[in-house]
Amino acid sequence: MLILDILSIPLIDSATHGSADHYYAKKQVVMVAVSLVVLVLGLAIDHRDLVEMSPWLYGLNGGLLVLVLFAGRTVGGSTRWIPLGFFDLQPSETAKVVSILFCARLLSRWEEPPKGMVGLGAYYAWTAVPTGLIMLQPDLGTAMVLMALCTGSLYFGGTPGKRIFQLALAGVLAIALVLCLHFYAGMPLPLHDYQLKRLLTLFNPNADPLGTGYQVLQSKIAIGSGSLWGKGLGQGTQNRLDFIPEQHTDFIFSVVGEELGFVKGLGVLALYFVICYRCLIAAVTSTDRVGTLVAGGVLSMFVFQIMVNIGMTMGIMPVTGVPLPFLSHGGTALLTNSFAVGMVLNVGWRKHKILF
Amino acid sequence: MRREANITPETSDSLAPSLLKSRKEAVTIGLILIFLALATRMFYLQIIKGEVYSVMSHQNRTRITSIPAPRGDIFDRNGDALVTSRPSFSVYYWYTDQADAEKTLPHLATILGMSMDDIEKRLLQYRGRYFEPIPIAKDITPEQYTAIVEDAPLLRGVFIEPEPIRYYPGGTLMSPILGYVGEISERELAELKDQGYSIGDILGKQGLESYYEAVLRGVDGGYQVEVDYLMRPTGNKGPGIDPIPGNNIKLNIDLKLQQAAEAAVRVAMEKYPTAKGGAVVVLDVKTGGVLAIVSAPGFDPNKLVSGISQQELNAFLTSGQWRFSDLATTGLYPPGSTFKVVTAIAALAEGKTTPQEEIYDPGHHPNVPSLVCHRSWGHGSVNLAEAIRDSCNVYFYEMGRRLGMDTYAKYARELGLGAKTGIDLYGENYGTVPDSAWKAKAYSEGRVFEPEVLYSEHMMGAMGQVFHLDTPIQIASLTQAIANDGVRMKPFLVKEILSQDGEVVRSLDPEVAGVLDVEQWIFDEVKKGMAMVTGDPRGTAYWTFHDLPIKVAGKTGTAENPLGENHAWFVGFGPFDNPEIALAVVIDQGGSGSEVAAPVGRAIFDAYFEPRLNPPAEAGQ
Repeated sequence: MLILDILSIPLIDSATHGSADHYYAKKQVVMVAVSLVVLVLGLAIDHRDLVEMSPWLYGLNGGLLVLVLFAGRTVGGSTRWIPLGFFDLQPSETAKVVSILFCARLLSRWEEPPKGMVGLGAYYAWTAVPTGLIMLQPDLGTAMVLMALCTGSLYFGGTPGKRIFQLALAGVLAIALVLCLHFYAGMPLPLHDYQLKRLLTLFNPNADPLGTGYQVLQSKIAIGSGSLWGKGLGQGTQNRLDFIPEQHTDFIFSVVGEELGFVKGLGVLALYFVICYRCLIAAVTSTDRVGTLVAGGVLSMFVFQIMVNIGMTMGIMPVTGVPLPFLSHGGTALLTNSFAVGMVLNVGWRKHKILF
Repeated sequence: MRREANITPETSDSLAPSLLKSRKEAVTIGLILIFLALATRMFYLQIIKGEVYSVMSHQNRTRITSIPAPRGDIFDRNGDALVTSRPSFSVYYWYTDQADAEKTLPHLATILGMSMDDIEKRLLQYRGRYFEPIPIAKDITPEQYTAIVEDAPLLRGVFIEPEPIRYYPGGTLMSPILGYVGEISERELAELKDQGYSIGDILGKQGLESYYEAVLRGVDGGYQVEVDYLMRPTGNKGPGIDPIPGNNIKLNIDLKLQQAAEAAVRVAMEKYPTAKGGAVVVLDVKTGGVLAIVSAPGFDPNKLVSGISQQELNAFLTSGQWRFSDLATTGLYPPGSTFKVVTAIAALAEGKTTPQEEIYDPGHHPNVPSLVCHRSWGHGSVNLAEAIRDSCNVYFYEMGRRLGMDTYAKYARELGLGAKTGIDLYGENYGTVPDSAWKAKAYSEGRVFEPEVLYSEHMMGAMGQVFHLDTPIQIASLTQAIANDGVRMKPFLVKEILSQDGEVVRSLDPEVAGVLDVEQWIFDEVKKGMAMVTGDPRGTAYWTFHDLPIKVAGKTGTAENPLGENHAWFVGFGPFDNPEIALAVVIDQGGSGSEVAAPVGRAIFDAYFEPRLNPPAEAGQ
């Protein structure tokens, strides 16, 4: 699994190298190196200690999320980063790992997995705090990731699949209802106009023809034109001409598709699959509940992000600002994801120790 | 302890194996389905449709053009255009690649007479947005247009778009108040990105253009368009959005009156070359609507809109030909003798004098001989109305002594001085109404001036000197309040917001800004004095107004300016019996109020009364 993770790293490097300035590539190399250290760190600390500490982390991260709203750096209308000089910290990224740990703690403390309204209500109330703060930035994508991962944790915590399915269904229906009310009764939404337009682009490519609609069209052209073998690293014309905004962050997969082509693109998908599958194995073979929950949470986070991000670049998922783990440019995300992998490896290793 | 836990696993701590097994199966299936779906989509895009997309990417012919929303016009009260748009041609460039740009751009630069640096700077601004056309030049000449069309094969990616450009038919007329538009700066963009602005957008930069930006702007549209091999739009449009034009606004301004006021100020400034500028505000007495507002010399917004070099701009500014600031709402001047009407109201209202009481003016105040009257031999015995007529300093020194600075300052504030009038423009100044609290704070360290109000300052402050500073609009508003018997209306420029079709979207109603609650006879007495200024042969403005057939009232002021020539003031209202307009004129460093400013006031009254003095001949006669 460690090998697979390392294998994905040259991909990040080459992809960013092909898409953007050397500046980004160099920065990415440094971040990859640091992320390996962080991975080892995640590996070294007992995940149960981390889970024990999680209320403190939860508080600290919440504080950072409040701080970012007041002192954060604003790019493109949203305030997500706390400038630290050498590095811009993005607390919404760390919130993902912190939430995994915190949810694991909640679920492992309760005698029974939450099934009823009260239990589920209490559980979601805890996640609603960071989610709400992130929505204020605004960052719809990360907020959705948080909801997805805590729902995933719930599943690994023992709440019946049927109940989760009902929850998801209720969520979808609620969103549909709210959208209907918005369009037919003028109900105000807690979303910015552009966020709504992006979501609707999935159903109606003309909802935002000058922004997201164009972006998705160009992304599809990029991926499609990669054909079987791709145009080669740095050779993508779509990519080079800056047709796709955000191509080094959210739309990185369009570069993968265009420059690597179908065969190698499948390889990338396979790598993601293996990572996800290893998370699953770690989760179900862990001898302690906490381990199951941590690995399950990480799995949920990865699957959701991979599905939504890659799906969005190919026009089958709504456009939300969800980065692709390991490939998208973004320091905090890379460190967080590496740490998450470290934690999962830790879950796996503890198990082996016991077997000796 | 933790280690112990590891060595003896607590089986009860882990979930039931059967549950884990079911989770494993369900999630494995889920994972396979998700990845299969993604792989299928990739297969569809890259293998089945790969050919199609390859062609599309090879000659990527879909670009985005933006269609700026037509900006709303600004009309005067009769529908005459003060700000509008005229057709023009702009040059855009679609970046394809560096080799192409190196061939095309130097040639384009030659045609447009631009430096390559300027064009490259532009390109750099648009980095990362090359799917959008990059605006290179606005408002090109017909010769440039022809050259570009003729050389089209050499200018791949260059195309010309017809575009409305802001046009100010009056040139410098009302320019600091109307303002101007320009391309959004990087700093403004960072601030306004949330409101949907992007690089290259046009933004109101001053005056009404800035204050009513949200009303005038509209919503830009754009289309995905197909382009031919020379990167010119083929006319095939993809999905897009039509722009929503901005709304028009109709002002209370009367263009004829405005022109007369501008001309009168210009004449005064030419006649008295010490003058550095001038401001006029004419208000509707009943509503507070601004009928004319001048800030001279102003500037020519048309030059700014179609592009002006930094050197040219600097030349205009340093020579004093141009002045961006709006003197009418931001210029601060000591009010001088125009303030005497405030002191007169305060003295009557506080019972410190009666209309009949006569004060003897020997040419200086008996208590402080250095406080002299402007007529060295004095005005003799004068009552309140006569003191206003003669602008007798000694009378008002005495009233200042009796009232004290704090008392007449209170009346000044109730008449709107020392506060923004609330006119619909940004950056209005507050001015200063000095009193003991103000002076104690301003000069707490006793440097330059004593922190206490001196005996002589109580007296001099009563005639608008020492520390008093007001804007012309404040003084106009004060005059309006007196003409309206104490009811001060908020001055406002915009009367109506109109849709493009001319329907009224919003109508702005007059608002009362404040009421000075004193008895009616006090206003009558002060107005009587003001009528004598223009109507009595001894009045300070009599020779300017003696042949005006309609009775008006006024007050002159010559405000001492320690930094240069005196500022010339005139305030007035008319017709006397049922006032319709109130006005204030200041000629910055123009000299004497009765000599320089009063004729400007006269010209404005002439223009306003013109229709009733010389009624237009009936049709058919």
